[in-house]
Amino acid sequence: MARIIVVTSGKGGVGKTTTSASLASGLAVQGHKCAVVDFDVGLRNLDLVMGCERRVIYDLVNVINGEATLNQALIVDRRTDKLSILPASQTRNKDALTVEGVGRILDGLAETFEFVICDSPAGIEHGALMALYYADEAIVVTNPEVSSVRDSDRILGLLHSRSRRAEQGLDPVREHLLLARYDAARVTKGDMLGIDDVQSVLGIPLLGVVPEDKAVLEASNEGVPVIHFPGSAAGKAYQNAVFRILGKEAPESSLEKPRTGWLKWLLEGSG
Amino acid sequence: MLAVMVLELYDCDKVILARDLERVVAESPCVFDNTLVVAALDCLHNPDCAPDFVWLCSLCSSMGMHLVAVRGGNAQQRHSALQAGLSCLCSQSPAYSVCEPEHRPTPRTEQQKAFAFHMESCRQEMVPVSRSDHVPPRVISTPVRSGQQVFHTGDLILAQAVSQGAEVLASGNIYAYGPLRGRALAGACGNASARIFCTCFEAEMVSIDGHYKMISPHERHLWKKSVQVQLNGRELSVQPL
Repeated sequence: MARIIVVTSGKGGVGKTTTSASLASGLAVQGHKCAVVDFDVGLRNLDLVMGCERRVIYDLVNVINGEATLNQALIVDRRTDKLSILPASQTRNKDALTVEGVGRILDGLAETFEFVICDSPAGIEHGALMALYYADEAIVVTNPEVSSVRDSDRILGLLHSRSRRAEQGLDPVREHLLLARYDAARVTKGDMLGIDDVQSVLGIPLLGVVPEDKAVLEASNEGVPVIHFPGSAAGKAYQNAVFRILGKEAPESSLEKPRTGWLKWLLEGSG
Repeated sequence: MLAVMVLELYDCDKVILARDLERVVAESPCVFDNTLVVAALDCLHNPDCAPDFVWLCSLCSSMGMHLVAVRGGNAQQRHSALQAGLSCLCSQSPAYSVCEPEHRPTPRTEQQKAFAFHMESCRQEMVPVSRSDHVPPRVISTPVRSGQQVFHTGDLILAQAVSQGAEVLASGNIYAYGPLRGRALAGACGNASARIFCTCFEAEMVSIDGHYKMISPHERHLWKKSVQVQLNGRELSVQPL
């Protein structure tokens, strides 16, 4: 039974695509057949982060419209053959996604893959709703700042009301929090929200904390998921998250310990 | 004070109502979006007819309106309104009444409408309901997230957090057992004795019977404490529990 996992956030630029690429690569390296689907139709990015932009011939919308088969559109990753990428279309918009079409594609992928990672576009409109509709699990990528936390809260509300599991009254979507671009020094100084601040608002289990890391930008420019940079702090954090998705123990890095700062004090009030 | 749209029913024929209502809503798109509607039964041509409130609720909600209550009507009509999950408000007092029996419009001709719309502020006495008609409280056991809205005609019990940007409304009391960070409106259809109870008070706004209060830094001594909110005269008071 394939696990369909949506990587979502509401807010843009928080690290959804970076997360999708790294987690999918990490799961494949661990020997699990994994497909990663770019739902950001019209603003396709995942192929760049995965370094396969020159190999895109057919895309998600072609498959939905029956212009290509799933196997024609899937791109096998250069680094591990357990990983396949289904790119988004650059020349179409999100209206091309339909509930039936996306359902057919995910059913097709679930036959051959153990994990299907859906990289959601930003926002709470049609594209994001299509990406989360069939999800069994959701990884909510949040940055430690107030606006990102609020948007994540909104997306959690949509997972509870607009997903297939909610509409059909099945078990709810399993939610995980992935805190990205975390800067422990700035939390200590008090100008960034801490882990416990974010969790007190969102109230969902923590999958991992990815620190702010220069390697993320370098990796993205090179078209290599940052998890393939084992020396980097972000790469290590994604590796730990992969272990946790697989239900294994992963060491809790030092930055995952709760801290408090004046921002938290401000939020809680002086009383 | 809460502004509501009053749908004054003259006819309860489904075909005519649906047709006319669709036309009115189509003429002014957006005007009716997300409005609270009270159906007034005082002006029915046939005061003893039996409108189908379940059907009327779904008709209203298909047009973006929320039918929350009926006003006036006979015991049978009020009973079927309660069965449909609506509240019952007292008839307008004669001084305000738009159509007294002697002014009741003559039976409708083709030109006459099945209903009329007008806005008014909602300050109404609830009809005392017998125990058997009591609306049970609604229990929400999942978090109410930002952007979500929960409404119940009766008491509302919230077992988990109400996030910033979420809105919880009840015609009765509100009990929040998780942190209350959003907006809470109790007695939303006119009930000055409604209260809000919460164990962890971080609300953006609280309101009872249309009197609202934004939470200012002065209330910070109550922040994250157990409090109750009630209406004293025209003033909302937030007291520690």
